[in-house]
Amino acid sequence: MKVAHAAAQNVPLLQTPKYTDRRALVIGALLLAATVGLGILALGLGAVRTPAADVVEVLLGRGDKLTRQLVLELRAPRVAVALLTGAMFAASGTMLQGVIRNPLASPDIIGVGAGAGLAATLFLLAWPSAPPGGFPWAALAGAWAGFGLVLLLSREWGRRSGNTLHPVRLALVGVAVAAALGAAQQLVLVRAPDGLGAALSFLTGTVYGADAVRVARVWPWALVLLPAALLCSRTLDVLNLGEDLATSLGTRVGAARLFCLTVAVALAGAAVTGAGILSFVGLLAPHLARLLVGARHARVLPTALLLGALLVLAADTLGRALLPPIEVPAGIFTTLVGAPYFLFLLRRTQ
Amino acid sequence: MHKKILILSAFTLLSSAVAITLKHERGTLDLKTPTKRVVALEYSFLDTLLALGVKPVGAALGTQGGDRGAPPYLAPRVQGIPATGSRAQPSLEMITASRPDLILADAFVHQSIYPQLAGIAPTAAFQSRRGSLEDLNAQTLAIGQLVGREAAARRLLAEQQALINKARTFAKKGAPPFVAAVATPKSLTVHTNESFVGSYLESLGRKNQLPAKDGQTQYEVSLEGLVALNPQTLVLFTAPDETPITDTWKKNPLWQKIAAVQRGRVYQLSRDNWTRGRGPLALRLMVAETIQSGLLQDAAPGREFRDQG
Amino acid sequence: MSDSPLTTEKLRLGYGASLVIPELDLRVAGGKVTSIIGPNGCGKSTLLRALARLLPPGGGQIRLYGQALHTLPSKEVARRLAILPQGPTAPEGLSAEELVWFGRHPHQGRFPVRREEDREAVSWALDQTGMRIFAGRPLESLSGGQRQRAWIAMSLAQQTDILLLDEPTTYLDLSHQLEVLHLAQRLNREQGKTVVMVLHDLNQAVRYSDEIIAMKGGEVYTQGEAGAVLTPELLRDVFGLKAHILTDPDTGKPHVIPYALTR
Repeated sequence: MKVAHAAAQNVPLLQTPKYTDRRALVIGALLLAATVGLGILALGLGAVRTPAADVVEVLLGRGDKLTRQLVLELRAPRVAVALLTGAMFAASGTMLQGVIRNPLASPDIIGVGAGAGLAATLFLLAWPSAPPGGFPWAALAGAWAGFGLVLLLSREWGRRSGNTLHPVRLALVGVAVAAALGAAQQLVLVRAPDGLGAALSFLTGTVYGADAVRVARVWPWALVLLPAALLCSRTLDVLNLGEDLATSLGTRVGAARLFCLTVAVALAGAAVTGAGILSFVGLLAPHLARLLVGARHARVLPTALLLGALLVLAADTLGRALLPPIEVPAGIFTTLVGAPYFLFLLRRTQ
Repeated sequence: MHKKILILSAFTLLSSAVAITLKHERGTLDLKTPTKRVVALEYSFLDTLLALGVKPVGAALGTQGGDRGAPPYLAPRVQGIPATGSRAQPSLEMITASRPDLILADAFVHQSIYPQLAGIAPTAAFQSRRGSLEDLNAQTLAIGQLVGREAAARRLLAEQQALINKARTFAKKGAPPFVAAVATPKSLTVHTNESFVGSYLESLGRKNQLPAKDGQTQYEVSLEGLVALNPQTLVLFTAPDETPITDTWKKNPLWQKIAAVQRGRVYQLSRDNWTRGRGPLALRLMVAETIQSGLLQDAAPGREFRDQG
Repeated sequence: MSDSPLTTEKLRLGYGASLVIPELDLRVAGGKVTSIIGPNGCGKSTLLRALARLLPPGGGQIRLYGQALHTLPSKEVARRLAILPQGPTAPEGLSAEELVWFGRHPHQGRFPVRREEDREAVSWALDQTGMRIFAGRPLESLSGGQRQRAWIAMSLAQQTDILLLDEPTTYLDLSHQLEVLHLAQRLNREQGKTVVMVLHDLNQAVRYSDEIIAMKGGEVYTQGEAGAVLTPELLRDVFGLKAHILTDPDTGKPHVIPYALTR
């Protein structure tokens, strides 16, 4: 900033930069306030009416048993899982878009979503009486397998530069693999017995049924991976300039991409175990963040995290409060918002 | 002090006399005492509870995610029962708010939320959706024990067996085997002799033409597939508020080639009674339909059970 | 020429199965401005990219100050050698100054702490390129010439002894072309930087370079002092042109006016 001051003394700037750290901080503070506000609101909303005063009582450690149960055991874990998974999907999408340099990239495009879906379906079919906790782990394994398949297919074999990862190739292979895995899942589902569809509703992306156990499952991943993502900011900025410039600036592009992709996939995979596949959060949040704070990842990542958390929390709160006692999965709302935006992006990209 | 312990132990003795331990699909359930505060998350549980004269404090009566609400034959009886969302995603809040002492869940559909349900109240998981007739009868007995109506449950089962025995006397010996299929607006799914519906019809004395295929107890067929099976008797399960896919097929000359069509032995029974309830009340209606329609007797279907179109 | 900072030995370059340069021995003159010229497809950009380790060699060796290029850590190379590739793109919304800061990347550690020397380098790069007044502007709002200068400023902020520019004047109008070439020349004269450019315009190449490397079909046709290399034979053999060669009254260097094709 010293440079900018010096400039102001010599020659007036023709235009102050649109995206500054201050702007990012203000936006971040606003988003944080909105998230906290909505989080408190979400604790009071649900199929059963709980007056605000009762909720406050509970938060102060008092209140009757039923309200305590509703607020602390049912709603609080949902709010926590919504916030965590939203932030994780958003971070994953931001990193993927940065690495693949493709505005259409999202966890779904690199096989994570489709892999998780297929694995979860097969798991349920092969082992219908599996312990309840096993299901998300199957999804996580599938997410990694899907990503591994995409990675394997998009590597250029036989060239001396063994580990080149071409962004366009990766995106194309990702789309193809996602389509193939999705078709395989459909094929399995066609032959599946009654009730499987209902058991798989988790995959449409929903925070429904989140409890303390699920929070505990997602939390450690978030604790490690979200800071890791933030540490990648500058690497992502450099990768964003393209392979040539990134190399020219001294980055080992192959290794840097692999590391960022690994963090991104781990984020998405862990988020899938928390809330299934919340479509379009990973696509939408980074785009909105970039509109708000520019292209630098040190600003985009935190902003996208907050936006993703806010988006999923809003979707889940709406899903609980709209038509009680019916639960509308959060993934339906994120898709409702995300799909049109995706189409708009597609049109603009062409 | 001494006295107090005595009273306490007497109390324990008393309560242990009625305490219930039940093995179910997700483990073992311990109830200190039978309870009437039950939440039913499947229609078969709802049917069973109502047949036992117990009004649940909550039931999955929602109409979402493929659910069409309670089947019509239960509709007059479920008034006043609080709805706790859909079967696939019951509202945990509504369940909590209805303060149940027992939750009845499907072992398969509700497996991912079993821990959450168990956190609200003791939860028994049964194979309802995938259950056979035997499974469902065992469940009737188990539910009877849990709500303290074991005798009533045994009575229900005995009545049911008597009804089946009576139905068997109607069944025509040596009648050709049947093909039973659920007809929705989009598809026709045949139910083999290992499915609930298919096995129940066999227990009433008619032979099912189809065994399970590749481990599948029920599977979809096309019109050509159905013509290839060429059943002598065709039982279609349809819903009054839907236009089954077979209505379209009837306009196809192929349809006329089916032996059952030529013999005039195509029966239309109520899908709502047959595939959605699966409890003692539904079983009574099912037996009645098989006799009234003329299916067991291999007689031409009565007007109610013929194609209305 | 023993002080050559960048040399190749039996260098073999290509993309996949197609071979572009079969075998090349080259020494880049240190502390001078060198231009690589040649017809399309002769391998000049391929060579420049290889010199900056953007393209791995299919055989042979590239040496940076005598050390094998591919054995050096990428970051260390980036502190000695900067390249501005053709048609660089930056994400939307980045200001010129933010772009220039990227040049400090090879000098920074794991955590992006902005030290005084980094600020000085950025400030200096902005001054050298005349970009200070546009520092806060988003790149997409700048003219083509300004944008190219912003990119060069980024490379300058790397503070390397060697600067490689791949067709730096493409898509620029004539005055902006000269702006960029003057800048390259000044950096050489004032900072002693070794500059290697790929250029299309022969007269610009001659005028703004000390050395010329003429390439044809993946081989060096000739390499030498800018004033001496450009001959009618070279124009005929390398470019297939008939041309008048006049003398530039300003510099005394040759000036080419092509008038016919030889083929």
